[in-house]
Amino acid sequence: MAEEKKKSAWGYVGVWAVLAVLTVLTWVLGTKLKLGPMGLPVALLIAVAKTVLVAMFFMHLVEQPGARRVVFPVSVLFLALLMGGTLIDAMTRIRMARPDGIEDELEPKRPASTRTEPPGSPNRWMGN
Amino acid sequence: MNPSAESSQPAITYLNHETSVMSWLLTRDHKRIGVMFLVGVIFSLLLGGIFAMVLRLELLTPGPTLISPMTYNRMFTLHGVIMVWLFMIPAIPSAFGNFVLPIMLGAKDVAFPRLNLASFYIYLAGALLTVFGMLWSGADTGWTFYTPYSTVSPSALTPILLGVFIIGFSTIITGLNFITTVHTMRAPGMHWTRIPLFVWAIYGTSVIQVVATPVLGMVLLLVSMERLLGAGIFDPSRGGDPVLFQHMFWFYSHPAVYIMVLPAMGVITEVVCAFSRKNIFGYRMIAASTFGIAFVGFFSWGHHMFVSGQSTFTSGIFGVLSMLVAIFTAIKIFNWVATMYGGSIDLRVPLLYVLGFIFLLMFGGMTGVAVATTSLDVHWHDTYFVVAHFHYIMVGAVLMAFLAALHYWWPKMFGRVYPERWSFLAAMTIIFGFIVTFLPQFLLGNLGMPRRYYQYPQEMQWLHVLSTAGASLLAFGFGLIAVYLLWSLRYGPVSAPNPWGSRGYEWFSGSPPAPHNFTRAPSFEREVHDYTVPEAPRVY
Repeated sequence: MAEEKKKSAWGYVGVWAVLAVLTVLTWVLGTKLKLGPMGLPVALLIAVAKTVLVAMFFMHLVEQPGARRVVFPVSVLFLALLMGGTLIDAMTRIRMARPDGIEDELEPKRPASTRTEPPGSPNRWMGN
Repeated sequence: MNPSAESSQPAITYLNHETSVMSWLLTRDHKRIGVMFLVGVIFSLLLGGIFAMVLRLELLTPGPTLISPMTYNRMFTLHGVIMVWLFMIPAIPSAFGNFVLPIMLGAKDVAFPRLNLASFYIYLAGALLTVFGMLWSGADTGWTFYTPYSTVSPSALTPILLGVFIIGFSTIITGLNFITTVHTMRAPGMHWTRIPLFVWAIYGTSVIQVVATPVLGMVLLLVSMERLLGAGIFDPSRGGDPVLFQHMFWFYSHPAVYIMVLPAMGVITEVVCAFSRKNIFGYRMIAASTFGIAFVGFFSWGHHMFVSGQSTFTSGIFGVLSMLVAIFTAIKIFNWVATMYGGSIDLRVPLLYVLGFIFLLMFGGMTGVAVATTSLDVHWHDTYFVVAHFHYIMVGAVLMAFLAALHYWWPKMFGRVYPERWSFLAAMTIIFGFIVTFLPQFLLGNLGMPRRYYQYPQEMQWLHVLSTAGASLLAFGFGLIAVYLLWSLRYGPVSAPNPWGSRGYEWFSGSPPAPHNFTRAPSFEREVHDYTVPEAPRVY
């Protein structure tokens, strides 16, 4: 039986460092820099990048031959497609006209930050 | 080599080497599992067909005819659930794919035989749970389980949702098994460019099954949680979004159309070659278009949601992307017709179904381009026009291909032939009956008849009567098929090893095949369906 080649741990340390930086980045973007409607997509993007790193290096997918290496990136691609298509719809919907003050009446307990921006708001991308 | 010796049938076949009930129930033979799936999907077709017939009889008159409005709601839901989840999705991949795919590749079995058997029992468990839900109190949401109604419906929807969720695992396992089999079990000489196009079609389907089905499982589980725990994910009053359900549901269910249609296209390719005595025109383009459809199919789910409240911007994108599917489908249709052109056509029953398939796919496909146009779809949405469209493209295509496969591979599976004249009559009845059933529904939809309505205006009655008459023809045709195939199983003349003179690789095994498909290693030294080289029938 061939002896397994001993590998250096420094590669894993490097990946761990990148993961740590991405975690700090998520915290900074979420608390210090207000990204508005871009906050959620950016946070998800960082989370996906971290997942890819964990799966490729710590779960050794990067060392697999042939088709097995393709499985994970394809899964990520399709997840991105599902979320991307849905988020594009959510961000470009035309908001139905509502009388002033109805939001508080309808949804008194829901934080204002989680509500859809009203038409004409600079934070809305399209569909106003 | 002596051709007569090569063409001899194996004395011991997968049917007679073990005959006890347990040998079937615990079998790991892909052929027996394929036959068990075949029985399961035919039973589902019968059940779904009975519900359809009751619906059509109810709609004979504008007012109440046979059943109450609530029973009617349950009937169309059960018809849809059974036909989509229990028949059309597993029909060709799980039944015929299981039976012929390993033989076509020159393999003894699939890569994971135990998992293959598990897949059948998971399908059975899901089907039983679904049927239990139906017997308990049925469901009245339609097969699409749209929120918010599905979260509050008083009917016994939860077991049906969980049943479909379980069936999804069977689909995923079968897909994984086929992908692995194609990658690892090909016999020497079976290069990637020699793989039969039916196998390519099943491979493309398997990719969709593996990638998309988990999303369906997730959304069905979420609806169950909504019903049982009040999770609020789809409830606007709690910050949820009912349109989110449609996004997740159609992300699976639109590609699911291709889970149904791609294997059907694979069958059509095999049958066209066999009965035109020609190799396929444009092998690489057909294989590539299979993956084109599989890929583009994932970018078009939003065309089901043009009136759901989805943004106009997104609807525009999905409308344009949906039309791309027509390009890849057209490639296949042109190639099938080009294969037949100049071929030595032998108009047998399987080819008759192929001609029916091409007509229905063309008609359904063209109306598909029409409903992908946002402005037109707003007029036709939720009318009988859409019902007719998806029955033409999805049901018509799957049924025609299923029947073509059943008649083409019947001698291969059971070693018997069926009466040609009766099968010809049944095929003509079914193709004609299908057109008569659904063509009036295009007209009804255009007149504004909404789908799933119990009553309708008097002036629409003649079209409904015509549709019911067509459905009766369909029922007669299926009854005829059941009678002569059951007769053939016991009394039909014994088949030659290759009764069609086909050059498909699956005919290299006996009819019916030996327990491990081949008694010696098969040799693939020519292209599949190459009719240009002289060759005596041979069985390995």
